[in-house]
Amino acid sequence: MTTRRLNYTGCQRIRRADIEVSVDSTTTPPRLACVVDFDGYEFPASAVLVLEAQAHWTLMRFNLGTVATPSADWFSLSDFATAEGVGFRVKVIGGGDKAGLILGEADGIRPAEVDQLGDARSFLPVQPAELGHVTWRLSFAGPDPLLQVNQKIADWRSFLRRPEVKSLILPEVYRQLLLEALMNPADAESDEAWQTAMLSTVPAGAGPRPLSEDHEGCDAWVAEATATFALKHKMFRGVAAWIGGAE
Amino acid sequence: MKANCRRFLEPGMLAAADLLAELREGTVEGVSEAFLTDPALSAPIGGPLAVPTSGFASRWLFGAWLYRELDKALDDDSHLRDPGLWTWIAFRLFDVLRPSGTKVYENARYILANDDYRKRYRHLVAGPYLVYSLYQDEPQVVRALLATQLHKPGDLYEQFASRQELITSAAVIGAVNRMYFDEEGGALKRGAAANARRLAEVLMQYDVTYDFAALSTDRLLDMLPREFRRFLPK
Repeated sequence: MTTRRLNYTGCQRIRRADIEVSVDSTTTPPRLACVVDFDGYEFPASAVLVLEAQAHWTLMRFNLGTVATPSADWFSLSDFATAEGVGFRVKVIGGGDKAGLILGEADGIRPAEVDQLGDARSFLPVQPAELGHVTWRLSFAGPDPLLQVNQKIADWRSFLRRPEVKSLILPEVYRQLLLEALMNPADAESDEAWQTAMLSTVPAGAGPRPLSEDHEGCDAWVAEATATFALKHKMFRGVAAWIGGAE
Repeated sequence: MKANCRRFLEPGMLAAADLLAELREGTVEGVSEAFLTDPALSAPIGGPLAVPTSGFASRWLFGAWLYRELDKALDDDSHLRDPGLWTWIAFRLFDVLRPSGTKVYENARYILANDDYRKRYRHLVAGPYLVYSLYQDEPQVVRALLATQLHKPGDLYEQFASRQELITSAAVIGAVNRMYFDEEGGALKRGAAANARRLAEVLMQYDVTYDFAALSTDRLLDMLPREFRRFLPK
């Protein structure tokens, strides 16, 4: 018999779209990070944010700080051999006279593998390089663009997967790629060309594509598209969680 | 008697299901040594695993025994995630799990249904082991859950083991033990199983409102309605 469960206490349902759980399966054991967008919710700043990972009878709980100062740390899924099949649940827990009360909740959260670095990922290989004191740069020297990362960063894969780093880097990567695709288009608009793939990420609502000779027009169009990209992927959330401030 | 610990391979898992059917039909009498050691059906994964010559008075004693045995027999804990291991142990201990005169139950009691959360906990070997190991730091707390005979998990176990939210909560399991286990008699209190069904329903309702991890057993017991008064600690 299934028991109907009633929400008598007004526990807020947190939308899954406002939660980003990133899982890095390249490490053993896998690890995860979680960012929650609290915009539009009414939680006390001191309420505690908890992430539960559960598969069968194995349960791990991660304290993600408070609503006001969420943690941007990576946590090890040390009790799991793999992240496959692990279910995730986010809870906002009250304090003080509401200690132990669930104020907000979301379950059935689907994590994203950190390899999914957004729209630019599929045609952007990454490579460590000698860059002196430059952390990263985009190279357009070859037939396809290349994201170079300072080789002094030993675990550069993990570095790129950190939410705060993604927040800082990806919008600019997107902007440079789009600008290059616009200013130096492929000889023919073939489906294989990275420029075609890049330009296809811009939503139709961005307006007519400017000619490559129109430098000012290109800059404005790319800036608008980059802002849309950043908004779509809520890129500032990683930084907001990192610095502990509101968006 | 000891035999090296093994895991069933895929053909062994299929053969195990066939053997259960034959055991039910009565066309075979028991589990042969050849079936357990056939390299086409199973592979060794550890050291010796004792085979008890007599039964266990409760699933709790069985869980405690198996916890110690596997700790010695396995040098790699990752094997504990292998359905082939649990299924092989169930057939190795088949005579212990099926006292003479009792029937062969559903396959999930002997073949670990790892991908079916509705049946996984019913395994007669993995069930008590996992409950015991889940609370290994304070195993006395699962005496009530594992109080029954080896081949009879019972309704109390069914109600709590079937719900992830409840079985993984130390506060809940502590409350169940305090309410339903008679420490003096070393057994479940009379009427415990029937009452536990209602308790599980109430706790699932609480799970909507309260974070069980933030509650103590005492706090949880205080919150229970009067209908449970008969079982609440004095």
